[in-house]
Amino acid sequence: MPTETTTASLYPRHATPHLLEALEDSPVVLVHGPRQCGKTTLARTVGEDLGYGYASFDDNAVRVAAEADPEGFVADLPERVVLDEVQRVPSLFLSLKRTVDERRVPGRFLLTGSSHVLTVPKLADSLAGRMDIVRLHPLSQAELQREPPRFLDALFAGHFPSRSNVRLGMALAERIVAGATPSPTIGTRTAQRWTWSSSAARGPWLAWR
Amino acid sequence: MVIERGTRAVAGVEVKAGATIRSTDFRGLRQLQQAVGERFAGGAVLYDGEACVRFGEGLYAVPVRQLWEGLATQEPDA
Repeated sequence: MPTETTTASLYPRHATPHLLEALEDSPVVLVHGPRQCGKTTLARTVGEDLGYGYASFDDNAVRVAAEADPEGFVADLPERVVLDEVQRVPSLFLSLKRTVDERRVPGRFLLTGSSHVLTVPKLADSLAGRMDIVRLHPLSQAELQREPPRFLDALFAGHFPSRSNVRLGMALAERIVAGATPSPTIGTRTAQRWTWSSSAARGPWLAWR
Repeated sequence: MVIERGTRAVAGVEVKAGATIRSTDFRGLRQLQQAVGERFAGGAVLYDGEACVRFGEGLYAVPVRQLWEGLATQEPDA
């Protein structure tokens, strides 16, 4: 199943409608979730469709510029912009707040940040009441399958259509091993996935769960 | 797993690794059903079986693959 083509055509994210709604409502929207769960991809895809600019604080030059002169950096940003990995420049939050308070336009800043971004006190304090948070999880099995999520609706309706399936057997174990974050499903070798999972387990992943 | 939706609806999910399902597998869900009364929306025991089977009002054994496969789209031909 996982082939090179999976990188070319992106998996659908069920959080997309929620994100679009938040951008219509709130001046700042944060896509928040564990490392490698697809935050940047989601923000860029949605941003590109809506004509957003893009800056990533993974880029050294961008980060240094923002740290040196946060006010000037924010003033020079495009009208609507994706700011990737904001947890790397906490000193920027106050400038974002000022910009938003001067002119409150919904969807002005689309931020992404990994899970510990909300524990950065400057962020929580300065953007309270101005920011909507979209929590992004790793890919669900339905997203990997490119299917709409229907299970919970059926569960709460108290009715499952009677239909027959083929048992999964070993395929179930393979799904569990393959995991749910976008990058390891692209790798084809189990060993590769295993290395990735063990290093992820040592990172903020555990804190997230 | 107990899942709440909104302030009222409650649903339960039980997970079995195997392919066989017994009425006793629904014990926990029935207790939940009794405990929350009319707030109970439905319950499912996920298992690696072949069929969606009803085990009483709002209670179903559901093949685990239906978590990610289209549920409503394909009714089997009768």
